[in-house]
Order: sequence, then C-alpha cells, then structure tokens
Amino acid sequence: MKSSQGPGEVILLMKGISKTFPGVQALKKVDFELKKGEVHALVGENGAGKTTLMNILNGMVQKDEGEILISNKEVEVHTPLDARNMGISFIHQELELILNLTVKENIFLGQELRRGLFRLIDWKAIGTQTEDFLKKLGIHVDPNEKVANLTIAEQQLVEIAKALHIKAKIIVMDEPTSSLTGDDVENLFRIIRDLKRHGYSIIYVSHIMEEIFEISDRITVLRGGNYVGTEVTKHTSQDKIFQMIVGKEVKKRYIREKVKKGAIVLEVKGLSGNGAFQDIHFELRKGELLGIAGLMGSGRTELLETLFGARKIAQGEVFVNGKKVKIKDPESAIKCGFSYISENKRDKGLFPTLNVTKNIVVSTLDQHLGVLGINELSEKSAVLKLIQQLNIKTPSQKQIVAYLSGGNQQKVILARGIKTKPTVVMLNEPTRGIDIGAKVEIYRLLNRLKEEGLGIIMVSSELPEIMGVSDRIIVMSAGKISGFFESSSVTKQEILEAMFKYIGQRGINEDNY
Amino acid sequence: MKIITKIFREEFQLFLLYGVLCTILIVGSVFSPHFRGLENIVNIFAQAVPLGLAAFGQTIVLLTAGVDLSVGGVISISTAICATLIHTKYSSVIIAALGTMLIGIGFGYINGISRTKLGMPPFIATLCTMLISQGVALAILPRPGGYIPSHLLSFIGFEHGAFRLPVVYFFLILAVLFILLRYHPIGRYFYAVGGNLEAARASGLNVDRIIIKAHVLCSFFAALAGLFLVARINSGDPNVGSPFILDSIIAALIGGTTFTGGKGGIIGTTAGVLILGSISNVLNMYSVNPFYQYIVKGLIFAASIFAYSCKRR
Repeated sequence: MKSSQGPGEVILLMKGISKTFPGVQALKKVDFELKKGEVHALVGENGAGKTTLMNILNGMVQKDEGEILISNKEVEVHTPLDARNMGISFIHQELELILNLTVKENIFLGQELRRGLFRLIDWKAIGTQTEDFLKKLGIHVDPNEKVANLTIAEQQLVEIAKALHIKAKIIVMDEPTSSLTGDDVENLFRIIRDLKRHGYSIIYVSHIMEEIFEISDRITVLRGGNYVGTEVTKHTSQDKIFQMIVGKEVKKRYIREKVKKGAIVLEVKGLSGNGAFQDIHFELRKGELLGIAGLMGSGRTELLETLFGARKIAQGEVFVNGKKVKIKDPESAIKCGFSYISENKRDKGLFPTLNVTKNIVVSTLDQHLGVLGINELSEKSAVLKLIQQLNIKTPSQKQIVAYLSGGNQQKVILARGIKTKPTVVMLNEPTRGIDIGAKVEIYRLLNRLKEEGLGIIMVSSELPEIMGVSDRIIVMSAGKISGFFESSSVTKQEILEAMFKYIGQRGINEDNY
Repeated sequence: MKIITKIFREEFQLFLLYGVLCTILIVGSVFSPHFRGLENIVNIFAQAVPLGLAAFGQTIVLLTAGVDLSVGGVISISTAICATLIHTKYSSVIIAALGTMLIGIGFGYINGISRTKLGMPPFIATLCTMLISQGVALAILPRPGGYIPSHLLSFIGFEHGAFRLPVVYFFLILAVLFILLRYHPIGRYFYAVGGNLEAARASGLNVDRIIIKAHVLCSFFAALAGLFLVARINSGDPNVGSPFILDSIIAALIGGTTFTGGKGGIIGTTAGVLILGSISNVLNMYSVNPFYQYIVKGLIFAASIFAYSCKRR
C-alpha cells in the first residue's frame, strides 16, 4: 500500500478481511486504510465487494476473517449501534430521515435533550443547538422545517448533519451525489472539504470518476472481492483507475459504431406537454441513436414520458413509420412500437418480488399463450436467449430480481423492453448508478440494437456519455429545443451553452427538482 | 430425484407449512381416538371449505397489495339472499344461486372502482363496503332463519358416509385457481401489480382493470363461501360472515402471502386454512374453552409471521 502525502495518523485499518456468503466469496483478504482528515474513495464494479466491506464496518455483516483497528486498537463491530458508538457514521444512498418530522427532530432523534422534573424534551435548547450546528457546517436550512418540504439536496445535507451530530470521526458516504445536480454537488464537496479540514475522515463510495478525482485524496480499488490496490489521486489517472476496476485492457469507455441510417421511424411535430415542454420537433431514423441533453427540469424526462403515454399530449402530432399514431396510455404506446426504460428503475421498472423470467415477460405474455394458458417452456427459452444476448449475470432464470446487482437489474428491464419488438426504444439515464463494466456492456447493446434497425432515444445527464454514444444530439432548455448537433463535430462548450440558453426566460420548473 | 430436491428447495416454505399441518394431524391422532377417525378428518376438510373459499379471494386481493374487509358482509348477504329468495314461490335454486353470486360480484366491483378510479386506499374502500354489506344483510334477514329445500342441499352439500361433496368442489376450485394464477396472464398481473404498481403501469398493463378483477374475484369467492355455508347451516344468518373477515386474512398470511403484495399463493393459503381448522378441531376434541382457542390461534399466527421474518433476515 502506498502511503499518502503529508501527515495524518491511521484512524481506521481493516486487515485481511474475508467474507463468504452461501455460494460466493464476497471478500478475499481485503485491506483498507483510512487516515485522519482524508477523503478515501472506494471504487469497483458492483459485486466487487465495496458494499460488503462497508457493511462489515457498519456491523450489518459479520466478517469471517481479518481484523479491524480503530486508532490502533482492535475492535469488534457486531451491530450498527457498535459502529455508531465507535464514531463511524453512514450516509446511505437511500436517505434515512423521517419525512414527517422537522429538521431538528430528525437530527436529535434518539438523543433528545431533556430538562426539568419530568425529564421532558427541551425543544427550545434543541432548536438553538440545531441552528448553531447547521450554521457551523454552512448548511442553510430552517431547523423547524419539515424534512418532507426540503429538496433532496437539502435532505442530504441534513443527513450529513445528523451523522456529524453523533460525534462521528469516520463518515461513510455511499453514492452521495446520485440524486444531486451540479450546484448541489458543488455544495456537498465544499462541506466535505470543510469536514476534512476539521479532521474528519471520509470514505467515499462512488462510480463517478470525475467526482472521485475531484474530491478524494486516495483511491482504493476492489475487484471481484479482491484488493487490487490503492493509489494517491494526485499521482494517478482516470484511465489507470478505470483499468484497475475492469481488470483488463479496455480501449474505449464509450462506443459508437457507424450504422447505415435507414428510413425515418419516428417524427414528432409541434409536440407540447402540459407546461413541461413546448413545440418539440424532431425526427429519428432507423439505426440512429439520438441523445437528449438538458438540465433536470428541462422537460427531457417529461418528453419521453409523454411519448410513452404516461403523460397527456397537450398539442402536436406523432408519426411512427410515417403513420400518425394516437398515444393514450403506455398500453397503446407499446402497441405503436414504443418501449421506455425509465429513470428510477427500482421504483418504476422492477417487480422486486418476482423472478427474472416473470420480470422479462410481463409485457409480452401474449407471445407465450397456448391453449392451456401460459406456456412456460416457450417463456423459458425466450428468456434464456435474452439472458445470453444481454449477458445478464444471474444464477438462473428463476432468480428473484431483488437479489441481482443494479447493472443486471437494468439489463432485465432492457430485456423486457426489447422483447416487445419495438420500433423506437427510449432510455432515460440508462447507466446511472451502474458500474463501469456494465456501462460498457449497455453501450455495446445499444449499438447492436442500432444494427438491428431500431431507433433509439437516450436521455442522459452525463455529457461525455451523450457525446460519446449518440449519433445526433438534441439539447433541451426550459422546455424548448435549444440546439441540434451532429455529435461528431460538437464540443462540450456548445452543448453546455445550449443547455442554459432559455433559462431565466421562463424560470426553472421547481417541481422537477 | 433431482427434480424433487429442486422443487423442495424452491418451495421449501410450502413443505414446511404442510409439515406443520401433518404434525398437527398426527399429534391429534396419537392422543385422541375421536380425532383419528376417518370421518373426523374428512369433517375438518369439509368444515374448512367456506373459510378456504373466502381466503382464496382474500389471497388474490392481498397479492395486489390490497385487503378486503367486506368478505364477511358479502358472505352474510349471500346466506341471507339465498335463504329468502329460495323461500319465495317463484324462485328456483338456480335464480337464488345466481342472484347471490351477482350481488357478491357487485360488491367486488364497487371495491375495485373505489380503489382505482376514486383512489381510496383498499382498507378504507372495503371498510365502507363492509359496513354497507353488513347493513344490507341485516335488512334482508334481520335474524337467522329461512328454509332451504333439500335439493339445494344435495346439489352443494351432498354427503354420504365419508364422502363430502363440498370437499370435491373445494379441490376443483383450488385446481382452477392454481392454473389461473400460474398459467393465465391475469394471475401473473396480480403479482406484478402488487410487486410494483409503477412498474406494472410502465410495462403497459392496464393496472386499474387488473385490480378491479382481483376484487371481483374476491367477492365472488366470498359469495360462493356463503352458498356453502347455507348448505351447512340449512338457513340464512346475517351475522355468520363476521369471523371470516379476519380469519381469511390470517389464513392467507400464515400461508406465506404478504400484506405488502406480490408474494404468496393459494397453495400456502390452503395450508393456512387447514392448520386453523385442524387446530380448532383438536381443541374442540379436548373441549378447550373458546377463549383459550383464540389465544392459541393468536400464538400460531404470531409464530408463523415470526418465522417468515426470520427467513428474510
């Protein structure tokens, strides 16, 4: 292990940690070191063992082997409460705040200040303490506001305040930016830097390279349950880390193959949705991938949802293969040849309690109806083919979907979408939250779909992805199209300018934040 | 052999449930000579039929992440209508039976519409119809009574020696429902809607129609349960349905169906129904005070829910 620059004693040392779950060895003698005042990024594909390692630190999972030292003293962490008492605090991807309570109630939950003969809660003291505490952290949130009324970004800051309030020395952040946008990310990073200065140590789990390189001091990479190495961020490169994560030489992070474009499959004329976007015109050809860029709230999600019948069309016409179509609801949109892979896959796309097969065939059961009802054999063969085609990593076609990794869950939803034999596939943030290896596989798959003659529309917040994968790019700004670009000749600057073009003219639709 | 071990592994929960049922039957048989008689065992099954039907319906609604509190009222109405309609001069058994089923289905439709089109939570929607149906039952037949002609009895409740026609019906219905849930798309859709409503909508399913169908099926089975009850008690009773509300939910939950939807099935529910039935039969054999029977039921329920939550951990 290389050591980091500058002073800082080792505050946490995990040595030779191993863990076996039934059937898989999740961790094989993994080492991890965290110094005082350091931001240490932990990266790796899904299934690399990051979550297991962090769960062991949190006391959710018990290690089979190895030792944990905090400030050079060996400790046993059996429960999350143990971890908390040792000064380890977790900020999870899904926020764990009680929405109907106020900020101060959440921060002091379980450790309310009491006073007087009857030991009643001293709300006044809690209020002033919360206010001071938030001010010290530079978080501008009203302590008396209900958490439900805060934005996601503000909620995240409250969660951090809560973590710090229990006197944590070590803070673990799991994908903290997954629900944040540009400015909020900057704000979060400012607070992280502040914490660093005050001697807190932070373990930063993330997939997003740009962020890791902006905020971390060191990077530890895990792969397939093995410790690959630790690098000092200043002295390494994104390509190097990328290769450590994937484990093999990968030439390109983004893939765009040239496919001969065919006839126009989709034509949208003067489409307006209720308030979210106006007067959208575009066309999409066979074998073309059209990227839609735009800020959150620019109407890009609403546009896709409208084309998929989940929202009402206020005005305008849609033509599929030259024929005008009427889209009333998702059912009719699927019949018209649309397929939509939504943004919040877990919430909107998956049936967590059902198995892989049932998840994939749910939209296309008609294809498998025999005289005696559902023909499970034809179902099985179709699903096995898709599992192979999309390279879905699952122990069997009967695995319950909740137990698959994020990337594979995403592929299951893709498989369902493809199985309807669509003319146009629309994807919203198809690679958000999935690991780099799975991303590359999704790009390959999109290229294969292009070759098979489908038209693809992809919305993404990651500019390099939009620029690297699409053939053409539409930029939306405040509900209007603000630019058309050929992605072979466009620059990042041009796209960014277009993204902000109409903002301020109409104000940003607050509801979408 | 390999297939058997595979099924065993996949459906371990069901094997466990039926193991518990067999244990109760065996323990009962060892300790009580009355219990182990063929006739008594058959009776356990026959007595379980109305609860079984109601619990099937309840299971379907639970699968869609709903609940139906109106089954009790619908059962009561069903017995009341049946007893009154058959009593009048012009009505035949068929009309009585059809009328009963129609009223049942009507309530299911109202439940489904309130839940989907009016956006009421299932608990509230069916709480309303529970009150209404209870009132209707009392209005039709204020106190237990009515006369049921013997041909209706023999059509539904025929028995001879150890033969019980209701049990045959029960297993036929079980088979049909099993196929419906497993091999008909609608069955799949019940699981999908309960598993993730948003995903179901995004997959192009007509979510409202599916939920309405679940409620109609549920009330249909409640009405059917009423018919079987009439055949057993030989009369109508406006209060007979009340215990079925909670018992049907308990039987389904013991059988592994969850309150949150998307998980479970009627094979488990059948085990739940038979476990409840055989326990109360055993306790009756020993003439245990009904108060204590409730306690035993409660403990079994708690134990099963505890077992499921252990498995999840």
